[in-house]
Amino acid sequence: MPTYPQGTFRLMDHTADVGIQLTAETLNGLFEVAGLAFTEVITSARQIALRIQHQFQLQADEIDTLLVTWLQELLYLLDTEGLIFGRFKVDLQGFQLKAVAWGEPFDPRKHVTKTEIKAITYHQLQVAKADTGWQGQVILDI
Amino acid sequence: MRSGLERKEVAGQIRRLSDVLFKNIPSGVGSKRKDLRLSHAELKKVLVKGAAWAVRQGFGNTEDLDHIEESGCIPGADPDLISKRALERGRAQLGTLGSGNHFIEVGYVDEIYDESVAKALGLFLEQVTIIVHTGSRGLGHQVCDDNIKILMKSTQRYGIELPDRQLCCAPIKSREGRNYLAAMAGAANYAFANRQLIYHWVRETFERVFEMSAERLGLNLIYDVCHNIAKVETHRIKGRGVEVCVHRKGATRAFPPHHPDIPAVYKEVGQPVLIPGDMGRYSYVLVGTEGAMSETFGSTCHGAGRVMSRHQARKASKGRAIVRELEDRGITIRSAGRATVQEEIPEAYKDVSQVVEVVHGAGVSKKVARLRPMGVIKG
Repeated sequence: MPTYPQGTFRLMDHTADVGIQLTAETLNGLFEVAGLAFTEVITSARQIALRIQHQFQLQADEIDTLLVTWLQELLYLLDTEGLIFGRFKVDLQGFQLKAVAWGEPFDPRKHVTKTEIKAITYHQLQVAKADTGWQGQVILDI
Repeated sequence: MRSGLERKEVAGQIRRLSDVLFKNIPSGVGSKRKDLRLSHAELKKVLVKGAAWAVRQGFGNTEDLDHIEESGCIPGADPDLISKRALERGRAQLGTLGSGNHFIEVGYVDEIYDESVAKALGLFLEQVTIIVHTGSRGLGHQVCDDNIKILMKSTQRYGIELPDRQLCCAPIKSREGRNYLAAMAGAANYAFANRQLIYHWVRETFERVFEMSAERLGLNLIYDVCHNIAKVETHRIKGRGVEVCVHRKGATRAFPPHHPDIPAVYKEVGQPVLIPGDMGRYSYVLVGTEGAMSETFGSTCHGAGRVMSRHQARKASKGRAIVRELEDRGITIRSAGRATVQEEIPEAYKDVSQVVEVVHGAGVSKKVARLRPMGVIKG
């Protein structure tokens, strides 16, 4: 059974967009909590039954652009297959990501609708090592 | 769109009308149409032909095309430059409104500032109007994502230094630049087709509620205009005509009377411009001016603009029944998500009348009429 991510996120005020600020002990944890933050912008992760498992394999040129690529993949799956995830397990090897996410198709009758995400941006993008772990920031176009 | 109906004929039906519009036009997170599943080959035709594709399929009429910027089709779109991912996202969402600040608004003309121009646009006091605000949906965003990945590399290659990676770019005439513009044209054409489909379903909804044909209801398109697009146009710079690429991000084209790119029917008055406000106050109809050509490359504003962030707006809505508040002011709201309504509360936006006064005062467009909302569909 997947575990909750070992990290936290905070939604950041931005006039027309929304920012997510992430902290985690590990880089894997940072990506996991980013997935959770993505879901929480759209709906409530607690309402999502973990009945579908989806595998991911992604890569990028840098660690911060990999974070954008990861969230773009989640948005792509929502737009095309309607899937939304409530739990994530990420395994990073350099700039390559392997992940598993658990969730189900988004259903407006069951899941609360908060905001639709239009795009993941590179604006003020940040992934950095902090004293006690990792920090990240992504601005979402909503 | 305008109708031949007056406010008093619609007021008693506005709840039902809003319900049926909300049902007929998918909106909100993950919205898709079950009755419109296109093959990739068919979707590529949409990207090349724009609104004309929809008309050919029976959604609307050829007269609509005369009332759309560029007649609903930006030439030069190359669907082979649009990724499979973009096609996948676009295929699922064609004919949907989306969420956030996208909306359909049924309103009425409550003030006219220029009688003769209003007449040319077919507008009169108390007349019921419809505004549709949506665009290229996930397909457009995917085109953007795909090209940002390419352009981030170009920026390095051309030695362009930027304060933020999202600003990545390339010379317009470079291969990357030309490819991007051809892909963007495809996304713009998708947006034209998307709105054309929605106009059709708006007409169908009115037909059902008022049990009368769209022709008899006088449901005609006044104008369809873009507000996030780059276009190659000729402008006068230092006394001579120069071909330039005008990027209207959060701006609307506002061409003056007699400009060759506006429909014959508006030759004498200038191109219509629509400036939506917020869902509680009003929106404006303006026309383009010579002032816009000399001052702002034929452009004006595109909306009120936010004054509160979405988070602040949600906080300001806490403990309030926003839908009820608006209902008390005679405005029916139908929305897929409560959060959207909270984020889009009227006070989250600047008073659009002040914004319109600025562009009118500066002479970059001219006020024609003010519209007040009666029913609003939000994603």
